[in-house]
Amino acid sequence: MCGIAGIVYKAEAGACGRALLNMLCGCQHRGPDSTGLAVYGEATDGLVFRLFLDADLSHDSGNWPARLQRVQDVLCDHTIDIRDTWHDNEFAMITCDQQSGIPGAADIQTISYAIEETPGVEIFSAGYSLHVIKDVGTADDLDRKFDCAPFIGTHGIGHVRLATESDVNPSTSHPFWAYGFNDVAIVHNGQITNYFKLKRLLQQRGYRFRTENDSELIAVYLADKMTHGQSMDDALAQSLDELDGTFSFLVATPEGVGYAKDRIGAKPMVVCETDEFVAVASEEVSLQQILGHQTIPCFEPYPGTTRTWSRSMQASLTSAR
Amino acid sequence: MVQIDASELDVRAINTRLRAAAERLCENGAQGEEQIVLTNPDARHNLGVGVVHPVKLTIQGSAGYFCMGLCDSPTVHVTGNVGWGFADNLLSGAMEVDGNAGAVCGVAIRDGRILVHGNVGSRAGQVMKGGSIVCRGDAGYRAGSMMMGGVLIVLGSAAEALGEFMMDGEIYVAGAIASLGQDAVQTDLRDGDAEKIADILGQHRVDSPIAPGQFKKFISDQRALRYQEYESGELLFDEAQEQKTEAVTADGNRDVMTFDAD
Repeated sequence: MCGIAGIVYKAEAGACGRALLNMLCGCQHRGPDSTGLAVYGEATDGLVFRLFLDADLSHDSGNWPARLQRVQDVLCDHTIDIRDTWHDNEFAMITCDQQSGIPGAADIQTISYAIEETPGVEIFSAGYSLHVIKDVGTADDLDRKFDCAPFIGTHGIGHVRLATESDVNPSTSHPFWAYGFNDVAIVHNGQITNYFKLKRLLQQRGYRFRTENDSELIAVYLADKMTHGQSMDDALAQSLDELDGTFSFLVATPEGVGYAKDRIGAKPMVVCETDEFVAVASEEVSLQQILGHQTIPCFEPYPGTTRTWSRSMQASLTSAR
Repeated sequence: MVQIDASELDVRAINTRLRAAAERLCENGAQGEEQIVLTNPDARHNLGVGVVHPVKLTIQGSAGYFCMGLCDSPTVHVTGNVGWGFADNLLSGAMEVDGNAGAVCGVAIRDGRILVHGNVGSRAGQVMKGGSIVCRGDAGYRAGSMMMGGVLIVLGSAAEALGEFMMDGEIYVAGAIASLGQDAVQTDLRDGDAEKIADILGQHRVDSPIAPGQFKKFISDQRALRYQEYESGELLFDEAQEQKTEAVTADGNRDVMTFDAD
């Protein structure tokens, strides 16, 4: 199954962490294996890396400080100064100083690939406002470990996972950062059946993948299109033609959140809009968690549709052609 | 009146209490409005499954997936929305939803009637075998998909692939049709159809946006999921069609037609 959730605040940043955790608690029955959030805070002037230091699953805690040090060395090699480092066992976060020239997309890809040359290190997210926080276990477990509830953000997406396509571990949890592309993340409920074909195509363009998970493909696939000048709307509309399988997925960038739903409508997703925010979830039971147990005007978008909600709330609707 | 607060109970406990209350009320021959009220449903799944007594039940709020599945004879009013698979396999009774319904609303119902005041999601009335479903809003993708009997009435518009692979039964739509599904065809209203629409809407006390005689009617072309030739090889499709036409003319009702391959 898997459950997805998303929220976009209309005016000012809101209690994004709390809202997403509550929504994910509400649909934990859809996926007890792992839980994750991709939240967008205030944009900073330096890059933020969220790191996983046990990507080889050796569980050898003695390795972790050395691995973190090697990541810091890589950043130094790329003349990036580190402002702050946070580290809790196998999870770490590095906040970088503002650079004289802000690294562009190509630089971030180069740096990311260089960091991941370090054995056992995986980047969960890189960007100026994106934080991907994910682990095995439930939403409550995630909050206890990372204290994500107080996170104030402009928007974010979340996921509870019932593993069908690959292992249960932090790496294969959602959300997936679009590896190499700053500030892009996705959550997905479904299966992509032309995964290997599309993955090969993207690999031929030089992109790397971290996992054997079909959802990671969606992130890189969309980020590639958006980096080459397409709007999120156009990229989503094309995905209906080019992705094969069942899906309701959410994609998030610093500008907002979008969804695509396959043509058969095999995977659920409901939307509710209030004066303050737009909330999206697999089931209404999640929306009830943030709207206080009332009857809420929510609707299920039609199969074969896409839509985006930008932070300035210029929503646009594209139907299947 | 029996009130059940769902907020402190798991779904199994809620349904056990609901069924026990329904049985008790019927034994006592209780009459009256709103005999059972379920509060704080919070859009949880599987609420009200397996109620088989003619009680009145009000669900105050939204229900999740498979609400009122496998039921027989209750009269139910949901004041919020319902998720996927509402009233699955209903045998008899009356269901009313004030909000929207998710996908496969009224899947496989045998009889009884369902009214949704809002929109219905994809595949409403899928494999329904009897009874009626009325949607006052718009119907999603593949409404009436693979239906085998009964009546689906849409007062708004219908999305793509209406009646996809329907085998029997009737769909009436007041608004626009995005596209017809495979093996579904539009046909003229026959004698009695307008009365049937008026009767079903009347049961729900719902006004029709247009005159019942102006509804568009859709039925199965009966070419895809029906054998064109019976196993004995005796009755070919066209012959069967002829016999059917005669049967329709004879008794004026599609539903009672049967033909024997022996």
